[in-house]
Amino acid sequence: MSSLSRFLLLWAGLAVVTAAALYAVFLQADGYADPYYLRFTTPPQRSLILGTSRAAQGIQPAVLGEVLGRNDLYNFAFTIGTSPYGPAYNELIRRKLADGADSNAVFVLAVDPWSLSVSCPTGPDSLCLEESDRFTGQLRTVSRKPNFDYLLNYYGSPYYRLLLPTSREIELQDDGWLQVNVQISPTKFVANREEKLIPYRRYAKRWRVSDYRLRYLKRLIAQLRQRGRVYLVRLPVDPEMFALEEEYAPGFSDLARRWAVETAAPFLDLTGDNATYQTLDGQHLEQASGRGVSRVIGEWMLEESDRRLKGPS
Amino acid sequence: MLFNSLDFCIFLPLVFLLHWYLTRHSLRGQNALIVGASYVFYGWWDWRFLGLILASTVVDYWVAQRITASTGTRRRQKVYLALSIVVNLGVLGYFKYADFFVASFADAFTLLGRPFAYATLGIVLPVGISFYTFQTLSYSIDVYRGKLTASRDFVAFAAYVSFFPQLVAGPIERATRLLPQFGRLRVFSYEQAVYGGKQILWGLFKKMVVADNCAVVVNDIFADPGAYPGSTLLLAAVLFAFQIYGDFSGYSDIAIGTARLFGVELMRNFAYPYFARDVAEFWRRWHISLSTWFRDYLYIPLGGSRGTRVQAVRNTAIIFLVSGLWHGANWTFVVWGALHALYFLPLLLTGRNRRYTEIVAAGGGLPTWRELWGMVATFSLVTVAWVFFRADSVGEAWQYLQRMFSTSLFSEPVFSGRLDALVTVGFVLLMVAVEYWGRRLEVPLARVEELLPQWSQVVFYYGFAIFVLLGAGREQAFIYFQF
Repeated sequence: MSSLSRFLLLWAGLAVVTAAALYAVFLQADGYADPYYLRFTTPPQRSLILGTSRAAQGIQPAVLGEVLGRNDLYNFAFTIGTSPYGPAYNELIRRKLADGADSNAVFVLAVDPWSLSVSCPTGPDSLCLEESDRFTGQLRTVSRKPNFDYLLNYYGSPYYRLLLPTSREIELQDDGWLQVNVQISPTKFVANREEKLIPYRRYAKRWRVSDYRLRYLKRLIAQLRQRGRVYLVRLPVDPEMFALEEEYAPGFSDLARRWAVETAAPFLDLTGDNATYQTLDGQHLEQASGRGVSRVIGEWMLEESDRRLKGPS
Repeated sequence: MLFNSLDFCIFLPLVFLLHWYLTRHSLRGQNALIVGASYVFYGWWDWRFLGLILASTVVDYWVAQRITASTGTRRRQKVYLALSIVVNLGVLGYFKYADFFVASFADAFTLLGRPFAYATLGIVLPVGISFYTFQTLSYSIDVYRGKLTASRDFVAFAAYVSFFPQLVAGPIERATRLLPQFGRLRVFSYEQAVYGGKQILWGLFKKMVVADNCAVVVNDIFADPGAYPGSTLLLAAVLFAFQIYGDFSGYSDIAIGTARLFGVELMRNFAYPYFARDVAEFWRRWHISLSTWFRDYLYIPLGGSRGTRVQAVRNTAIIFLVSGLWHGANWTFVVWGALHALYFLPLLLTGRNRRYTEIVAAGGGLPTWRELWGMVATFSLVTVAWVFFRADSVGEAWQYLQRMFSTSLFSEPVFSGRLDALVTVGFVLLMVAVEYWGRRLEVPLARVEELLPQWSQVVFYYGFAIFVLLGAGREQAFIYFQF
């Protein structure tokens, strides 16, 4: 064998061994990999829960499904940085939806001032969509396991973390719900809330609610309505966070109510019950509260459905 | 195209196969392939700037021809050399410094109480421009000095200018060394290629595992230093020192290793600078190709350390300030260079700047306490200077250092992701330990071969490659691309 062939054999061996090792590690990626990956490994879905991390953590498909008597609900909400309403998220949702004509699906869209805002104080909103450069705007494959496209290009940690996760407290479930298993003391809660409020106070000074994003929300509602019923909800948050939101976007719920009428998508505002529910950090519902909220949303959806069936009284 | 990208994983084997199968009997074919591949490599980032490389190649090729043809008429040779200098430095000056000078000019007027509105040109800096312009410039100067005759093979010269492994971030090669290698048919050497492969692997470890993981911690902390205690800022400064070392020396290792795959030997660019016992030794071990470039083409022509003390101080100051500016059009780099000049001058003036020429504990074993102290002190001084290098402005760097050296320096480091940072520190320690252990070799990892039987060495290197792949942090662009 020539020295060149020997070297090529060595090189080919290296390529095969490293590719096989990587593939084996990718196969191990599960709900602990990160808060997003698993959602890009499941088959296309019929009914979706959409929004940012508040919805990802706060709306539990299993509870909602139990109330509604259906098992096709899937949480496809991400974070404020990756899934505010806009063209990129709309396209990602389109990819995740199962093919075929179907008008019996349901869609729960969580809205709040931040998910309809842009971070640039001035300038065209279309040039200020940070999610366009992230997986939201770039990922083409959203239903494959293992998802090489995601793991190679958008997974944000070293790959050894797929085998040894930083924490076992956060787990993405098969139905897309982001389960956070932490018990926090009142002191820890206050510290978490303060930490969470720091960036949001900064956002409140710099960000603005965007008509551009709102247009895409309305467009999304119109598209989803062809497949089933669309419901808008505003999830409860800690009173301090709510006060900040009211300062940032006064009367946001009234605006949402108006959009609901325009788009014929019922709206449920749960911020009136802020004090009833417990969050982990001022904005993300802890598990028991999330269960309660999911149940309330489910019951309200049933009522809305009955009302629709009965027609205007 | 980045060395640590999937694109390069496909590109490199393809060029390698073409080089050794398609063009192995033809020097012209080999060189043409290198030029073509190099232009694809560069054009992958932005094809529009290929014209600049081509222009630089054509100008210096022609200038050198004219200098050689004008032998005997020194004045004419000088004119041609001046043309090369004006074109190369003009292009560099326009793309790299125009906006900086406009802004600095306006700032100076503002300071004098006469502010005026201005607009910068918003010029995009072509990747690697500082590297290839210095390389082509050295060629013209060497031909002018008679160290080299002008190349009569344009393709070989174009390969010398654009050789993709070192095109965008060095090592900055000298024509006297590299050009002759494009003048003879390259023959495949198994040993050379395997050694190159090991060097690439070690370079990838330094870049992807050490530098990219350090970057995660460093970027967060440098983005908002006011939010952290001094101890956290110290940690970030130290990690940045290892980030920039891992990033740049890793790139150099990958470049040198890749060149070896094609039968080309590039000069060494780093020789364990963090084991240096004083700043003078540090500069003999850090970015060697640039330091020696400045030494040969600027410091010595200025008079070097000969002449009066004032002249020696002046020349040293010029070298460090120009070196700072070479890195970027920002006052932070100027301050960084000035700090190093301040560190270096006492050694020069007391005649102790060549005290350490051998690697520490060259005979083996551990350094003496005195050497250890020298290493720690040098690393500390260098790390303080890196804060200016990393910060966006001199004011920010100053505030960073003020906060770092406050009483909070003795508090517990607080920041999110401490567990990951701990793993990163582990990677850094592993790199330092392996480099110390193998400090007498160019590829320190190769020292493991002393311990392992031959049959298991392949298994070790395959295992190490998997370790690199799994430990790699989020992909970051190479820091020195911006220079």
